[in-house]
Amino acid sequence: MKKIFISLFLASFLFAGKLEIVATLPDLADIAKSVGGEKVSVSSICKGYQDPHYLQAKPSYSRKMRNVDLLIFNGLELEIGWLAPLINSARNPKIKPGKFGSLDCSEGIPLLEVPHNELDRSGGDVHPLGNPHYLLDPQNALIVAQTIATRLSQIDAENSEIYQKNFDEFRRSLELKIVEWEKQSEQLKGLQIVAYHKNWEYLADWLGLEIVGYLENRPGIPPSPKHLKSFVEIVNEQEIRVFLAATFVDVNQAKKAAERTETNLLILPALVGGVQHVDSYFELFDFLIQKLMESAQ
Amino acid sequence: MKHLFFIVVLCSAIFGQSATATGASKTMNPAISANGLFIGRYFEPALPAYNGFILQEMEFQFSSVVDPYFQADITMALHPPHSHDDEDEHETHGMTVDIEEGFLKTFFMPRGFGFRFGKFLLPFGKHNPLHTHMYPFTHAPSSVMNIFGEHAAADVGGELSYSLPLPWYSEVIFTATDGNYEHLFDAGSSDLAFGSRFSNLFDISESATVELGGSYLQGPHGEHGEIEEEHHEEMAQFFGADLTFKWRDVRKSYGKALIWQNEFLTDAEGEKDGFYSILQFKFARRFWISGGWSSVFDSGVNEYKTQLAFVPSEFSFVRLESVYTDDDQWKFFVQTNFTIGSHPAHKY
Repeated sequence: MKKIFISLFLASFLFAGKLEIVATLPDLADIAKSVGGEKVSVSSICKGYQDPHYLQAKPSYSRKMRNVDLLIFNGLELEIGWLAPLINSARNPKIKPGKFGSLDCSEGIPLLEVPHNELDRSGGDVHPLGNPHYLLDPQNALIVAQTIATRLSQIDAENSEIYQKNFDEFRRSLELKIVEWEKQSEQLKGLQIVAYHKNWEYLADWLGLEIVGYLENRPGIPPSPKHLKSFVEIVNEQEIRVFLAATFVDVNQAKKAAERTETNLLILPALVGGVQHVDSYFELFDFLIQKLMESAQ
Repeated sequence: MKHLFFIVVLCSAIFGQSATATGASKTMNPAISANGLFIGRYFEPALPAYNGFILQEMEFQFSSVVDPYFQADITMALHPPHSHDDEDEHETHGMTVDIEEGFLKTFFMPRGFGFRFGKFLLPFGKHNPLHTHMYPFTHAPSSVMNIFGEHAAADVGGELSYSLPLPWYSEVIFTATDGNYEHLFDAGSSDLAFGSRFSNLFDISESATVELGGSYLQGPHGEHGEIEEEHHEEMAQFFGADLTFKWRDVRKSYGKALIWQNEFLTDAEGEKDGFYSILQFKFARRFWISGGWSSVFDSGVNEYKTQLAFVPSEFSFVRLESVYTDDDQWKFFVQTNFTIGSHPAHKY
């Protein structure tokens, strides 16, 4: 207990004068760190190896949000099951919806799979505002970084030049990496793949992959034996060689399905920190491109 | 009548604002959800009046921001009348309409503070603040019902809460209410009821938490003559202590989970003390198995429950339950639940 109080005491000096930011996802936290630099202290609620759809609204998370200046979240209802009760119990007037301290990072993102007809829950855990996994296209991170830089400059106008400089640096680095990743993955264009869940649409769209089927035919609903049979048939008939699944899904089920086909099951991180040594947004894409290239060869 | 008046006032606050501000726009409509609980019962030895299928409860929730200063939440429930309901209740086709909750929450409290005003479930212990579809079993434990009755205790008044700036989650709650919940208090008295709760939740690992809580409630005696004469001048007092352990495989979307919840409740006279312990284990993606024990010390009657729950999604479940009590009574239940609409996410 003594150690905790000493750590808190020291931390209060260390972070003095910094903007306190909490991000719902580690990817957003990493981007915010790049843009905020020395002027911000950033933490993330969801860990990279956790499924952000199904996080529990632990009161300790709301304690993290109690004193922050800015809450950054993915939006598009990805955090619908847990963020609202956390904001409510954090009792921080700054981060209430609509306040300046609440930032929905999906603003300005060109969205995929926005439904044009009426939805209901017979389709499973549907996202009525569009597919929320837009951070798996690094081009969208440029938009997110700009959104964060703008908001930081509004909250902390005194340091707006620093935020703009950090953003310019981040944009230059990421644009260079995007060119490099696109060059590395050129031969992936047109590659047909299957996936466990609709995590990978933005990645596929960016790299030119074609997702021909899902093990979960309805998001969040386990596949029926009938669907599993047709999934296996599609994979075998079309000679699909790559099967993507995020680290937090039911890996045993994915393995069983992969065994009935000749696909190469790739269990990949969908977020920063999803596996060891993937500790930044850049490292996430280095890892994803490398694994996709290996499996396609 | 009082309930009807209360809902009219709250509804006019919410819908009135929307209508004047936006005309026919749907964007300002409150989030609305409905929840249905149906139950089949078989008692052995047989109680013919009880055996069969009934609508256990139909719950409707409305939630919306009222204006820059308030948010309003309303929970209405239709259920079969309880044994204590009298003729003043407004019944429709054998069902009773209850305004379970209807309160305003403020947006303008200082950091760390929360305040709500209206009718709300009293924050006493872990079980009482739950809506019926969130109960771990089909019915509340006997030790809880012994004090609060068949339904959770709710009252009209104000609640001030504060989350303490400590390295773990710590919250203190104070309530001042009308003292109008008949099962606990004398509804005819002009005295107010006061309550408090202090809870602390510790993350003992990434996957596990322990919560320790203590609750207190006092109000005008309302035991309809059951309390001895010398106690009538005093306030009725209730005490509670609870311990909850939760574990979940946080690295999996649909991982295994375990909840162990314990609660001790008593009144100041020690005449209504009891204890329950509930263990729930999620052993597969869509299945939970649970066991529970509850004891009312005064009567010495123990209650043992077992349950298998099929939870295909967060919006529905089917549960099979058996209950055995010391007086050689077996009860079997099959319960179904559904939720439609925009239902607020549940607390941890």
